[in-house]
Amino acid sequence: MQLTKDSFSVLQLEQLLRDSLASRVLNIPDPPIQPGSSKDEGPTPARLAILFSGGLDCTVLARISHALLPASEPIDLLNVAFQNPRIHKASNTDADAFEAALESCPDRITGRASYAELCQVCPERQWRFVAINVPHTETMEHQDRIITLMHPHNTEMDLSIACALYFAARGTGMMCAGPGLEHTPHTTDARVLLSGLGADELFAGYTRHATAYNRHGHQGLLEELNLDIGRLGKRNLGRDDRVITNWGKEARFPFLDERVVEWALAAPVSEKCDFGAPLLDNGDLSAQLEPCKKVLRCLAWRLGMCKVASEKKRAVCTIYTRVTDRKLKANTNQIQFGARTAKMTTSKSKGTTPLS
Amino acid sequence: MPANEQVLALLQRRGPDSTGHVQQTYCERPEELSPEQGSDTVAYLNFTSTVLSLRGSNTVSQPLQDEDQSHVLCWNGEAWTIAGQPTEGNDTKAIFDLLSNAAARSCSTDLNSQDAANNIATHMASVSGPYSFVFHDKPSGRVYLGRDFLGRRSLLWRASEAGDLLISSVTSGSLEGEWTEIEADGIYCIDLSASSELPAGSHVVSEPSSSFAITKVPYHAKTDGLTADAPSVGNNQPLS
Repeated sequence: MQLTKDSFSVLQLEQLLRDSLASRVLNIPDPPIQPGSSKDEGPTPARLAILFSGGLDCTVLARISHALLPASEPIDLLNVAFQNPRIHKASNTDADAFEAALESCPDRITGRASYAELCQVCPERQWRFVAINVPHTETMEHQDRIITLMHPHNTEMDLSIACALYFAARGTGMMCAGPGLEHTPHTTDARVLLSGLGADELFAGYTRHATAYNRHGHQGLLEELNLDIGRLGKRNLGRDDRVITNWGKEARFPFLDERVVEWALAAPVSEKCDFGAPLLDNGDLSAQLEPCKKVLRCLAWRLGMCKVASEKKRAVCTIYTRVTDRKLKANTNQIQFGARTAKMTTSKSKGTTPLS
Repeated sequence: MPANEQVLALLQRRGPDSTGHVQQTYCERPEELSPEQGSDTVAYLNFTSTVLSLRGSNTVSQPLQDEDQSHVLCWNGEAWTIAGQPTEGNDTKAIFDLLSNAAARSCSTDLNSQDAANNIATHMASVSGPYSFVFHDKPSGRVYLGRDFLGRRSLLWRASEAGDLLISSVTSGSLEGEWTEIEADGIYCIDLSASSELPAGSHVVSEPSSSFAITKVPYHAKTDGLTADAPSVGNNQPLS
């Protein structure tokens, strides 16, 4: 049977995520005052920021954090986009072209869309969208330091993911403090950053999960999920920690909470995603959401975030699609944040190629 | 910049709120020697911790040690709960108490290294949250370290050509030699005592090849629903 916003597993997940987030977002101490700014000037410092691609996972975290934190606390949403001279050809010539090029990045588009929905569903909160635009020259400037931080990880793919996390965690960009407001320069004060990592593995969010189901049915899907779950501990969280914490900030992973993971491991696959479930026609529109990560989609729907609940699984990383290496394809699935960052310098190298 | 200074600078970026150093030596007195004949210094231990303070009302500096310096803890983590109880206040102190009490009990009952490491692993299994840690139990001459079962915090190691063992959250890159990420697959135990014999059945770790014997208490799957060949995802549970 199809999952809906009222399914028991959706309610269970909501409670588990609330508990997980309560540990991670409540009682964060005030961040120290940044050098050169005084307490009375500028925007209220945020205690919490979210690594915000605008995708389902991080947006659900934002929505539940809203339910837990006093409305007076602003939340910074960090959205990173990279100038890629190979794609954004005109963007070096003037500021407008640069801006336009970065606003066309997939993560920026979804980021803006989910930001608008958060502002609409939770208008009493000051949501601050921080558009982090990284010029190519700046990426190059910081590259050596990023390579040092991520050591012993050493592939192109590592570097592209690390770059996204590095600049997002730095948290410097143009801030929009509400719908239609001007953008102003801003560096987030928050020392706690939430990441939506883990949801794709736990709830079958990758395209290859759908592919596995289409080719080999439930057995294929289960095998694919088992592989992912086994790899959870070997995910590149150590690398991510080294890169993010370089800015004196800490990433927290609400989906990787022990109880959330335990529940997701124990739950039958039909309670997490509903590939091939018979159509339920009781007028509940949430039943018709996409089968991948269905439990999380239904939760988003339940919390009033219908647009993000319906988001289409987009091509994970457009720049990599021309590479056919199988191993690399598996790896591209790991990018769920800062998608269009990879491969800006060499056109033929593969993501798994060690950096020279 | 020399590599260790570069590492220190990187550590201070990670933890801008405090920097601390603790130095210790591990000595052994062979039984045939009388106290007057002194002792052999077997190992020098240097601990450095920087802190990003996010728990409790004031910064707890690290490395944390007790008054008689019998235990030292470097803690990079968030213990949300210990044995199901939410950690009130600062978690570094709570973890220090948990581990030093466990180590003291192992010491008083003179457990062999395998059983002592099991005891530490059992106590760490009661912690929910991301972490990596290094803990020195001076009376037994053992150093325990590890990462939570999902590997949410970084920890790497490397053996120098001289056989020194270096352990760090972040490195200066590959200039001085390759570092290896410590797998998030168990609690590791470094035996500083040159003379100690490992009990049969010890899970010996051969890399990095330093001057010390390293063993591991592997994590195993806790959920009963997982079959024997299922991936070993557990809740930091030691192998029983």
